[in-house]
Amino acid sequence: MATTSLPGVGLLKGLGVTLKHLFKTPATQLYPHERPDLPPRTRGVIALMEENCTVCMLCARECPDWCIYIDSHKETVPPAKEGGRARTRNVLDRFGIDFALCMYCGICVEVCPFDALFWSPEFEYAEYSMDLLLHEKGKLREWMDTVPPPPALDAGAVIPAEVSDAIAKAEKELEQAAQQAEQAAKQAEQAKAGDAAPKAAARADEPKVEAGEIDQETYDALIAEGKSERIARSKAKAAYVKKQKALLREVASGAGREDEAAAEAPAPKAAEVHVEAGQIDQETYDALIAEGKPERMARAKAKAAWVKKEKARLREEAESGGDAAQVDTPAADTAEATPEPEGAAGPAADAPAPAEAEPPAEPQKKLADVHVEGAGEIDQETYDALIAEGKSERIARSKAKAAWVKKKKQEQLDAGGDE
Amino acid sequence: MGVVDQFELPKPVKYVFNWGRKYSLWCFNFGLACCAIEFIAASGSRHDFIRLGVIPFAHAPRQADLLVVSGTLTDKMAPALRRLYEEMPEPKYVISFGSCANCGGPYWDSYSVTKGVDQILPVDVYVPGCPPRPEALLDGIVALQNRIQGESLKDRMAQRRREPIVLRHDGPDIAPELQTTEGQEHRV
Amino acid sequence: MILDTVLTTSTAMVAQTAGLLDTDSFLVSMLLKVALVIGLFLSLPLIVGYMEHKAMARLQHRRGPMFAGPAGSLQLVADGIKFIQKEDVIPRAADKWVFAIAPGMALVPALLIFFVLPFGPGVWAADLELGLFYALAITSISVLGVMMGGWASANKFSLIGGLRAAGQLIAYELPLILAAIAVAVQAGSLSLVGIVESQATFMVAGTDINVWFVFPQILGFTIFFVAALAELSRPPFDMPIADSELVFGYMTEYTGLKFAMYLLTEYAGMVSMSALMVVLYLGGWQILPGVPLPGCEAGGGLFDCGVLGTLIGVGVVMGKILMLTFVMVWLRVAYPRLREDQLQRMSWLVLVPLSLVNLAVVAVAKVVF
Repeated sequence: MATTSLPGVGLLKGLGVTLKHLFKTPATQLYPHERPDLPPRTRGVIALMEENCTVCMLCARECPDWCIYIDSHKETVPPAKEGGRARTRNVLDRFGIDFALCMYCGICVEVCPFDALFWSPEFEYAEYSMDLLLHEKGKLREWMDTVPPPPALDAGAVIPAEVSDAIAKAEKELEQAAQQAEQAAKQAEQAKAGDAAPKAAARADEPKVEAGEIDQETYDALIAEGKSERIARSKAKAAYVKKQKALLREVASGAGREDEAAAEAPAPKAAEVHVEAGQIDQETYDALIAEGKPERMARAKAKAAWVKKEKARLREEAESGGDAAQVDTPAADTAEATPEPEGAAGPAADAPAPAEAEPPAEPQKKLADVHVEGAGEIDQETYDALIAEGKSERIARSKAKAAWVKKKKQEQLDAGGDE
Repeated sequence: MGVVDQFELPKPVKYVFNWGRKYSLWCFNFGLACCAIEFIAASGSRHDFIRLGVIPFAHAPRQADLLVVSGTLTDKMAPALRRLYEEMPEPKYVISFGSCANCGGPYWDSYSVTKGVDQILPVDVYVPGCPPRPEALLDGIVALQNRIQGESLKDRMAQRRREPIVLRHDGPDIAPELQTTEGQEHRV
Repeated sequence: MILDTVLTTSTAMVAQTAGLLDTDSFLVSMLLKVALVIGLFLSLPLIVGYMEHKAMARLQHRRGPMFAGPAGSLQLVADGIKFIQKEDVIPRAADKWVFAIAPGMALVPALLIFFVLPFGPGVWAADLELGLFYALAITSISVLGVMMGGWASANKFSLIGGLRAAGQLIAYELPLILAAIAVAVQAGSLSLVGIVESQATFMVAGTDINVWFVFPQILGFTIFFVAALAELSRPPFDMPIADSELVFGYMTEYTGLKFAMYLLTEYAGMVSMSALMVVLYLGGWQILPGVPLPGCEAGGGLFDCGVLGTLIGVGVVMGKILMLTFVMVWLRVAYPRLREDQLQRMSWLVLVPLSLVNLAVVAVAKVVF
């Protein structure tokens, strides 16, 4: 301005600046038509992974606004084995976040020790009435569908400690599984109760063993020590029973751990592939709209459906690539697969971890002897039955999932028993 | 006004009238805190809510149709807000924008903060967030527009006359100027 | 009533070219003229308003209305429908009758100008001999409505707004009229159609190059444009409604339809002032200087153009009006509001002397050449 001598030049410059914008493409985002591309860490709404919640109340206590409402009761779980102590555990009755009050500080998400709370970038939940802004656990669980996968690690990043721990653990379990398979085969020959035992093991009950056989080693040792024949036989018999029980318990604990893994794995994290959420699944969308669901909900669910589908597709591709198929084999037939997991552990452990940050439970679950890939697979019969009983869709789904896992395990054990 | 809200209008007329109100929301921003910045962002080039027919910054409340309360409403400010609301001509709409306006938000236990503007105004749409994104305001506006398109002006006004917001005459929250007899007039 | 009186008096004063709407039957031609004027009065401000919305948006890197009607084209219609439904608030302390009449008082003069504005070859309601005088005289009445509104609202902001409007009008009416007089001197006529006609035959001295009055009188055009902006209270001269100081000036207390009437006055004023500038400086319905419309080469290049020529002529006038209103919007987007003292100083110390100089130069040139 100081350099211009003529009066009015500044005015013309001003006109020029505005005129320049006339010919530029406007910066406007067409929001209701096009959704904004939000980063995955956007603080839109808090989602609850109900299965992970242990009612520790940390979130409610740390909340600066006191906008989290939690109710629970204690349930007594019968002792795991005969003569054991009954355990109590907390069951979540109510989990509500009052988003009218929430200040979106994220302390609850950070403080949650069990990964039950997540940020979702969804922001479209304006309501006509304020009490509708108090989202109860059903609604919070629905937001879980919109939680994006965590961002991928950089190429060449160090594998997180918990992931490598989990891999090591999984490898150990594979070895165990191999031993187990051998012994199961042996046991099938030995025990007439081959059918009964795995069933009992599946229920994680005290294994029952027919006392009739004797442990030859123990017997010989005792005889050599100069013990009387009667004493030697009874002790050998006891030793046999103890051994068999230990064996069966090992089988059961392997299965139980993997059961836990299935329950703990968060749904969107379950898939090992990283998929950009952005597209929507048109079919799902249309169906939901036809059902009269609000457009926003339909879009969120359709997006989740799309992500799920895309992940399934990518997983299929990966499996046709080879290594995933090998990982699956232990589930099919334990005895034959014994040498294979050794080789499979390598690629399966290496491939997913650096590429996309997996939840620690992931490799363990994948490499376990039953393939419980994803929370998506459910037992249709159980599901239908529960729905028919009038149970809520969510409960039906989680129970059907559990039933599916149980069934798979049963099949596997049966297969092992037959050989 | 005075006439159009006395009778249930025939359907096509009602549709056109509702359509007119829906796309002509002259907006009065009662900006009180950081949420107002998000409101201003929503009126700027990037989000530009004039696209939706929301004309920002109506100069005076007399010309406004939509009151957006964005920010922490203190008891000291409440009479001013109430007065501006009263100055707006019917039919008027209110959007409560952000946690503070919804129910006090982080200041829910403060001695000086009004716990939600709906204690002194009838609110049509609550937009959650702290502060909400500009898009969240647009979403709230779309929700309000859907509501306007579906409503009956006669019912709305009848309800307004029947259930006026009656101020608490004894509460510590309300400043003395606010403790008018307005509610009583309506009841008599 | 008023229209009737105006029309009858105007027919008495008419000594100029008869328009297309003049038929043998007085009643029919009157109805046609009223229909033309009312139609233009209600449609052109809406078009200009929509243009303002969109142009402002694009100049500010936005998109403007998109949802009301195709590309938001019905935004102002939606506004109108809404204004019908709004509650009519009259402040208790207001002077009720004056308060109610004031917007009409502002609106009617804005409507009356349309009767003398030529919108194309033969497309006008009346071609008065004193057309320019009539147009300038009528525009100043609008401010009466503004002052009445400001006074009657019983609101200090309204009052100050109304007084500012009056002060602004007095300050800028002078340069406006002086600039227009220069045109009348050059054209040798006060009839708006006559001024268009004289532009079609105006040659640069000593040559046969036809030019519009904007070229010899670029100074006068600039003065007229600035003064017109100020008279319409358009930014950057919108002190009467300066919202950072006066809430909404004289409109502060107005709601619903009354407020809509003030708005309509503003936009109709934009149209009529632009139309005046088109007539006075930009050659009316000529496409380019010296280029007659197709079909009317015979009638001196201006009249009896046939259907096509008339339509093109109307289109040309509308295009020029839109261009000028676009410039008004452009200025609104680019410049901040002046201070009240800057506004007055600019008028009395800059525009009035300049317009006097302009008038003197034009008068001397008229005598010399």
